Amino acid sequence: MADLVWTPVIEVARMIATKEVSPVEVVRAHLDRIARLDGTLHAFITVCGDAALEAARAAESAIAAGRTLGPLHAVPIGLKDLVDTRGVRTTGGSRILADRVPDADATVTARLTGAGAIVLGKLNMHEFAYGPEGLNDHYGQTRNPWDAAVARVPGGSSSGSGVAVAAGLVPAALGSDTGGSIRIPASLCGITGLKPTYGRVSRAGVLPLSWSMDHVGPMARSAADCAVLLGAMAGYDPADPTTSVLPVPDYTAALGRDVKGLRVGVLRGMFAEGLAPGLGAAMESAVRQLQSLGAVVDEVTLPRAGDVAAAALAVVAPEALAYHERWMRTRPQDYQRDVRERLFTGAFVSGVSYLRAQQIRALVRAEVDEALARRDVLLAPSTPIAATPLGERETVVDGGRADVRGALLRFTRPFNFSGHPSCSVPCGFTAEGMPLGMQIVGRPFDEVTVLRVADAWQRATDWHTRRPQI
Amino acid sequence: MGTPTLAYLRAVADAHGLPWSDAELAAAAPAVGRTLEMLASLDVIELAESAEPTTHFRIV
Repeated sequence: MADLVWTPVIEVARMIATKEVSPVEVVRAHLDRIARLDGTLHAFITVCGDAALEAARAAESAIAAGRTLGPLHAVPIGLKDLVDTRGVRTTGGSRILADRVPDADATVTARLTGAGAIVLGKLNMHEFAYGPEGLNDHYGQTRNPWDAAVARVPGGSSSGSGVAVAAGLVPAALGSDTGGSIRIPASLCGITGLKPTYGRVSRAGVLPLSWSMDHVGPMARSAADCAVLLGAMAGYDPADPTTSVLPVPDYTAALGRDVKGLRVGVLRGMFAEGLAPGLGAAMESAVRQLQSLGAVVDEVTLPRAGDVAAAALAVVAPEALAYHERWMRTRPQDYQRDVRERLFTGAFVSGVSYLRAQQIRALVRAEVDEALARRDVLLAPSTPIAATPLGERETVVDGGRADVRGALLRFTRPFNFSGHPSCSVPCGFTAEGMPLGMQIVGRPFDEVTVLRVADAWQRATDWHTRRPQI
Repeated sequence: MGTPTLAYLRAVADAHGLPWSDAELAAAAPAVGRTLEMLASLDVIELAESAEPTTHFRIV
């Protein structure tokens, strides 16, 4: 069943529950594909083949006995390798934690496996999640599956998650997002990735990059599949004091609905400048499509968004160094160079700069809230550029040169800073065949509306159904 | 603002207990220079005296 690896989460779960396919068949199909392709893609750091097959057999027995664990019963998933897994090493993509084996699951791991999911393995990432390209010197360089001829960045930091989902190695994965690390690889790999509201999903047992900016969320091939995963893992967690006590709605109730009358604000200003060729046209086409579906569209700017790059740096760099300082003192040579240098910059941020950045943060959040006071969602490109060749530090946009790293983060980071939910969905391709993504940003804790728009968009388009030729 | 001097980089590294070689510090100088430029840009952003910093992140 070659198509099994491309079957959506919701459909796999249904087929397993109705005994159309066995959990062992599903897990084997994915493990076979990993064995065939991951030597080139390097999406996985650790493959849990034996444990996954054992779990699949147990799931099969449970179904035979008339028991199922939940909505993800026997659905295979991958976890970014900073999400703790009891008894399975969790490296953060680093040499420093190469032998770290947690003795407990992260809350999200426990919730997803509690809902029936089977962990196929731990996914590659930019070392310690500190980079948007998805670079890793220690576990093999993850490669974007959309270009067989030129090795291109997958986007990061959840690079393995993006590539594994895009290449059919797993139907869904978890990522984390501090400046765009779910949405950037989703955009560059042509999949769907949801950064929930800050406080919606527990970070307990997830290695931190920047405590006040980190988010954990699902990555899959559709908004519908992201909705199922979010429902299984969202909600208050006493182990994470930043999680909200707000009840978790039924995110699948957002699916299959129309967008008639929904108010969509298209972000202009900074979000419409310096775009890759074809991206502006793809966005305009998306706007027309949403209008044709009944959405009421207007334009809006976020003037403070231009301040976010500097302010976010003043927050993330010292928070990251605070976590890493012990190893920066004793094992600096064990970091890959770009991460070591980035961590070092945290030493140059004064307390005054940190707090000034937090003042700006309050204003940015208020500005996004204000834009959403009279609109249901905001729309913007996820990244201004598509996947660039590995090793390329600058690229050309609008006739000028742009730093690849800065460009990748430019449109996603404002919503880490503000904490608003944002979902990246595929919206087209460049002339070179590289995926383009757009993000749908919603009100705090209104993932239902974000997913409703994303799902309606995907039922009206086929960008998310395209597959890389690998 | 330019590239920071090795002496400056050394002083900050020492203050944080980072035993880096001169070569490692010199390699980091461009990244530090860019950081300092970005931090300087924060100082020219107009903020009302009443602007409270974000000190909590849980919305509900």
